[in-house]
Amino acid sequence: MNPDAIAMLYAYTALGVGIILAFAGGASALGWGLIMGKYLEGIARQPEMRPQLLGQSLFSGGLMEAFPMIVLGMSMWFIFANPFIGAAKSAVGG
Amino acid sequence: MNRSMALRPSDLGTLLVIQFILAAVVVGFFLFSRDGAAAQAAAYGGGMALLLAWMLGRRALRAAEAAKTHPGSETFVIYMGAIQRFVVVLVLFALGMGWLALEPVPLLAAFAAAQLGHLINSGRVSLRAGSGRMEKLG
Repeated sequence: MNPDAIAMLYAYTALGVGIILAFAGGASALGWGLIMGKYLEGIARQPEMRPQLLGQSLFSGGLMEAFPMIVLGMSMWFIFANPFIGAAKSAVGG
Repeated sequence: MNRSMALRPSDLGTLLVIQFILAAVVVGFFLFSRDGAAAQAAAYGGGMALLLAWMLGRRALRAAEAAKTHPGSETFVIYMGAIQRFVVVLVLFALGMGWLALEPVPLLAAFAAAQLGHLINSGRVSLRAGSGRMEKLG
């Protein structure tokens, strides 16, 4: 494989990782915003339920956050152990 | 007042146990189907998920305390915790895949499997809340 092709692969991977990270961060922020918004709505309706709603919202937050974190892990995979380089090398025969 | 939905320190313990079991299953799978290096990477991924769950639980308990003493300040505690976990997960993934050069697939598989613990725990807490409401209604 020539260096230009490898550089191009790394460049496209970096671009993809940037998009993935933007979506992961944005989706995580959106998720937390929705959860906290509903939490505050719940408090406004029933202020005495605050501690109970907090527990529920935090565990829901943990569940919601799992998905952006897995996506984050995949993006780190593409950065530190780029699987496309090996696949391209084997496809073109070295 | 119905206390069945309140956050308990034991909820964190249960979440950690569930995640540990799920991560151990994945580590065992990679140990028998692949090799020690893959199992090591899976153990790293599972350990990461456990650390993040512990951080979430610690923040949750601190936020519950803040809700009692300074109502309104708990959202700040939660947001700070979310940012902290996001940074920690980035650093740990970079450390594991970059510096330690662990295999990415077992690492991610164990991490994702352990994260399923949140789903199981969420269902368990919801069931408990549902049964608490039923008891209250008689």
